[in-house]
Amino acid sequence: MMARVAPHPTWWAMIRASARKVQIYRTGMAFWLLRSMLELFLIRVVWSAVYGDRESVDLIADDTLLVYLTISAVQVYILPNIIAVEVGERIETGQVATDLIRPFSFLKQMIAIQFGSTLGIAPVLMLVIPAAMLVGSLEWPSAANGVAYLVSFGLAYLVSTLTWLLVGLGGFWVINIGGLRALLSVASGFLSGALIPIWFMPDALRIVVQLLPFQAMTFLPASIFSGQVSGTAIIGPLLVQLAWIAILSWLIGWAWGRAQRKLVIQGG
Amino acid sequence: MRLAALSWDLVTASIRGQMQYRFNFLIDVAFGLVFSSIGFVFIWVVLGRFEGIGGWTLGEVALLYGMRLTSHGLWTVNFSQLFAIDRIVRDGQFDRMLIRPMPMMLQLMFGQFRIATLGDLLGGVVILGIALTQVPVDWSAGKVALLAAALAGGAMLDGAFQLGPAAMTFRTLQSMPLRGLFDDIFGRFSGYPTSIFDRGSRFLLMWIVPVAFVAWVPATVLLDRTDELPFPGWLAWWSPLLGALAITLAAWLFVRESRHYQSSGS
Repeated sequence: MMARVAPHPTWWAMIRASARKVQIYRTGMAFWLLRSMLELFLIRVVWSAVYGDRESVDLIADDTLLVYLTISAVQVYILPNIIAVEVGERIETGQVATDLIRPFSFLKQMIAIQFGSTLGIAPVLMLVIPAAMLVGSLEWPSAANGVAYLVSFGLAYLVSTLTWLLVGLGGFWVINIGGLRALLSVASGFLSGALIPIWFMPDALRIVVQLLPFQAMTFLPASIFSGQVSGTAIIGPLLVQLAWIAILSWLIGWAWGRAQRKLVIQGG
Repeated sequence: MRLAALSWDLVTASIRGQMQYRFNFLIDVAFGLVFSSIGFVFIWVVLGRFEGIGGWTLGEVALLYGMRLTSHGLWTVNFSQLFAIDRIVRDGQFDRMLIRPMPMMLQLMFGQFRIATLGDLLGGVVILGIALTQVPVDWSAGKVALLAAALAGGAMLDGAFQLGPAAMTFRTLQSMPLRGLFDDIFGRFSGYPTSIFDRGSRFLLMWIVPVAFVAWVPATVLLDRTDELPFPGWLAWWSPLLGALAITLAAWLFVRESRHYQSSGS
């Protein structure tokens, strides 16, 4: 790949088109917001009831946990996985042939679509934050943690984009990845630590979770936001996220090389 | 009798159809199982760590979860086609249900059978079975009958809040967002003891969208905890009737609204 100083203008065109496309589904988004509020509310009720009168369990304070779970849930809403749907559908319908002819790398096209769709739904996503403060439990972190969180969230966004792009590329081998994607997206709620923080998981489960990229999408940034990790210890999670970005980029490059040959073998 | 045979033919044809794509078929069943049990894994891990929730033990919450998932499974196994009602109405596929010599409602029930829905039922029965060995129920003939009636009643109540909103599809061509919302509310809120909620939410969950009646209300009878209810305990014995009433209303609404169906010209 050639290093460019300024992004190719095609990026902006594709991002804009994709942003416009997602704004068609306005009613769906309103209901989605309502459903996310219900979830945030249930999180607060259930965990408050589980904690009961105790102030902290395993050194995790009641408040810290609720902030952790609320920001995790918010992140799950924001983090992208549309890219897997897009790649999957293009392969299934054969549209991928047209995409490949375009003078702009297929992978870049897909990433641009993902960025655009996030921007398109950004106005609704912005509403989730006040909603979370209303029905959930959201408290702002300290300045240092806040800045570190923004960096960590940016990295989480990249990890998520790359992971789902990789899942989507699986479509070159099995044609229909709809089921696999749905399965993974349900499991990822668990594997990312969004449902239960990794602190509370049994050892066996914790090891599995720490070997997968999903924790780099939710658990790591959320534990910075909630103040469970602070000071110089913040470097650790950030490095893990960077490592995942490197590993996933390499895997995508490798899979993409094989996928192109695979497509040639299928012919026409 | 002839209708039963016809229904059976429709269901088996649909299963054969789905078996053609073997890999997808397996993933579908796996998805159904994972999707329906992940909520329970959550409860299991959390309550294994903490002692219980609002005075309910892990076994007792598992009973609630098993009851609600079995009810949900009983509903979705029979009405999985309703999930696609928006498309059926929009594309004019509903024409077929009107002209074939079989009652429309039966065709809606048996015209398609989605294998993934078996995951809900299977997961529910397994969790319910395990939970029943963990809770101290003082069994009597009446309680056995109540459990069976509660599962059916829960299925009907859950279903009423799908079939009812589905009726609006004939006018608006879209009911998915509303059905999804109710599906979410039933799925998320019916597996917990309603007593953990504050007054306002408890009122909503009992009398506005009555998810409390799917599992919590009948379970208080089974577990002799009716003192948690805001009404006399003997009334809770009749809670399954609410489901029957709700589904009757929903079915009436659905059939009535189906008169507004306008086929899509093609």
